[in-house]
Amino acid sequence: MNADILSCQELTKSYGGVKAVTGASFTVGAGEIVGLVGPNGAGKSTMVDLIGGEQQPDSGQVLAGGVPLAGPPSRRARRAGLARTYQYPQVAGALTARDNIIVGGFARGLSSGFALLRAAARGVVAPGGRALREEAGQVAARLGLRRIDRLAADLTLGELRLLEVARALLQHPRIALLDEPFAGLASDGIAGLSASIRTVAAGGTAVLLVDHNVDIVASMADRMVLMAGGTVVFDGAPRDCLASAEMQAVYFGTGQVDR
Amino acid sequence: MIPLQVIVSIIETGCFFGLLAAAMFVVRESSGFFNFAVGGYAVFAGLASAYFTSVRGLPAAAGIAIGVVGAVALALLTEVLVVRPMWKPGANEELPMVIALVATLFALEQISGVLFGRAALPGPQLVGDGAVRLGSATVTAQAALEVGLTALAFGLLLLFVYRTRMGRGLRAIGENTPAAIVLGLPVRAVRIASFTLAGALAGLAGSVFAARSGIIFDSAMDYTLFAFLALVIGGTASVWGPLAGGLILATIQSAAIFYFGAAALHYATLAAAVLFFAFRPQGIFMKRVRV
Amino acid sequence: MSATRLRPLAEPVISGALLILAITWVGTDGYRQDLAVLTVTYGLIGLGLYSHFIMGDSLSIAYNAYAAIGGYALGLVATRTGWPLLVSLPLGIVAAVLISVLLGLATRRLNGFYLAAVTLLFSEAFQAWLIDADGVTGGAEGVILTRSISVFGAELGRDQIVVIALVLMWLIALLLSRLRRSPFGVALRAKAQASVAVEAAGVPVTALTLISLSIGAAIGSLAGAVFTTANLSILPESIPVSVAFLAVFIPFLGGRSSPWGVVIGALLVTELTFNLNFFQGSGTLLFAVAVVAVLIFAPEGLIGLARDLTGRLVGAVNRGGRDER
Repeated sequence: MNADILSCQELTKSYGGVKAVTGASFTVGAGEIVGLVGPNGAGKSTMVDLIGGEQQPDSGQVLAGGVPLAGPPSRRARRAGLARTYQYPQVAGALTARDNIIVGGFARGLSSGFALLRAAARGVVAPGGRALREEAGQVAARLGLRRIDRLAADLTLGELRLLEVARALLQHPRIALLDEPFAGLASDGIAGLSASIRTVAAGGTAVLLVDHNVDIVASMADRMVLMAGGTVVFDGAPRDCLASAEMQAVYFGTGQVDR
Repeated sequence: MIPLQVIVSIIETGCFFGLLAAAMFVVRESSGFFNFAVGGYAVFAGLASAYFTSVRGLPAAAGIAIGVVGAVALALLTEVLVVRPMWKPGANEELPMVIALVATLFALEQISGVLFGRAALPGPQLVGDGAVRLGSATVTAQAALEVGLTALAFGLLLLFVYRTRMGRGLRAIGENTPAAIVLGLPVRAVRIASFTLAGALAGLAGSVFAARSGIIFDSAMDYTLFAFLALVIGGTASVWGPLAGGLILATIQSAAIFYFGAAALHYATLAAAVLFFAFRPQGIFMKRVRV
Repeated sequence: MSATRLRPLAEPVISGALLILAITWVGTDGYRQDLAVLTVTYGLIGLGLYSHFIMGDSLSIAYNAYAAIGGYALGLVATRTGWPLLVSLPLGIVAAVLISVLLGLATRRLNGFYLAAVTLLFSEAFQAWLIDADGVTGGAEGVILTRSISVFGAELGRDQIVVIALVLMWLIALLLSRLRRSPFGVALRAKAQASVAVEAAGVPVTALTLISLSIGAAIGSLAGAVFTTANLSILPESIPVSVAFLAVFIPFLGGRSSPWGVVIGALLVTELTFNLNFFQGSGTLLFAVAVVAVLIFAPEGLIGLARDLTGRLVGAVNRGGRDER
């Protein structure tokens, strides 16, 4: 029995002749936190977009629970329980943080366009959403996002990252792609976020943590995947990864990495 | 096959659309938004020139001069009263300002109606009734004048955009306004210059072409719409984009009328817009984007 | 705070009281009834646009088409069939929704002013078709209604129709206000600014947009039905193409933060333009200038202005966080 929730197989993607990712493969198991690290241009963001469905691979495939993931992002979110955050936060500035967060929960109950129609009809009769708003408050509190009833436009970058994580968590995801969630966070924010990520993983969610900050990732991840030049150059325990020759080569330039 | 005479008329209409589109183009280049008020400048200029020549008896050249100067003044007023207080560079908050420009369009249309009357007026005749036969077609002196002035206007625009410091600034700022502000480029001065140009181009279109079939105050919205379509069809990568777009739009409209009757104008314009927007949103002249 | 608990009730109660006042003020006065009918027509078209433009950022403006469909459905059922006229309401709504969905699918890759341009061209083409297809629509002469809507066998007079129209506008504004606050409305408003994230969260964004367009088209069709019932006739130019621009301006004038801003805006437009032969008159000039002025000096519209003023009064006593727009 394969416990891998997320499995990338030989993914390749190039943009106008420039290869961003070449034959990249790795897996994330249920309840596992996998850190995807690598320098700028290593192909991390492309991997996230390929998994999330924002981009289509030239070849290779992404499996979720053994089933190929296809179609637009919204379908992946509903079918495979995929949730993600963005390197550059994507939020509606004119809405409060809480309203931004409940969008994740709103999507949870949607199986089709007709469900959306029902949601509209329900919204007219009884706006409701109180349960979602309360859940949003609880998740935000656990993450350490306090200014939840302020407009998202007024929040700091760090708060926006927490907002995005909260929105993703409200989806009750089976797979969570967190793209640079720690960038711009203060130390107490890092603590709250780390604890939440651990809690989510303990609930069985497969977490793919993409970040520049190798130390934070290493402190949290069960396994680390190191990318360089569009390929996976190391995949193993964090301690081994940090000590590996590949890590040395990628980050300190003391050797040649096989591309 | 479309008769030669219709082709002459297509070129005239295309030149008119091209000038209007060019007016929208210069502001788009300098500031990154569509100035939907250009139709208002053209209607004001056309009605002013028609009024001063046909009602007040001034010479045609004086009427046209008044129209163009009036259009430039309105364009500058738009910049000072609407754009300057509302413009927020880079932010995704452009919508209220552009809505205000659309409201300005309606205000200009109504101001023109109040000042010069709501009846259609004959435009100023700068040249006599002379005509040249060209094969099976007759090219009137008026048509020759329109095409000649359009060519002249585009020639000057070309010189301005590519040969002057301010013209180059125009393109640099339109590409990336926040960066231009950081670099200390004269964003405001360039914008004022572009509004002046927009007023002049739209004013010229309105007053010179009014002689073709007269002018009425409530055409402003259509003028703006056709300018926008011509600009989208032609693209903004080159100064020739607006002219090419205007000619293509005029061809589509005239061909539809020629083959299917007057009512086909609207259907054909709609079809052309849907097709162009769906398949070639960047226009005929593509901007080269570096990857 | 106990005020928070009363809030859900405050909206229907206060607006309902104002509605009753309005109905009483209009009474049986013919002039005031004309005012009311025009306000409701503009108000409904504005509310239709509110549902997808102000909430969802889709500037689809083919409102003369939706209103005409609602109006002609009434006219055609009245003159061509023996059916009860009430049947024409769902017929008009279904037809308008169908058109809006088809138009929405054809333009789904467009946004902003590109979408506005194409839908405006559709409006013009539709207007041309109304004149062209005289076999169906009566051409330029339009349709004169031979009977009015009847309920339980009794034909409705103009007095009743005006009251029903006002109640309809009130109800739709109230329902839209609720929809706006519901999770659906929140998702729709989030889509306007962060479409990518809303899609990635699992919301089918195209369906979301189409539903919001359909809601707008249905309300637009009702606007045409109200106009036609009250005037007992519908012509191609009864509802001009430019009515869409009114509908775009109205929420900016009244205030975008709530559907009630549309109602306020519609009242103002009617007040400004009614006596001055609309679309020809200097009322339009006043209106256009007022829109520009409000956009410059009160970007949140009259509701925002009122909120600012009360905010300043209350703020002296109690300083709170910024309210959501």
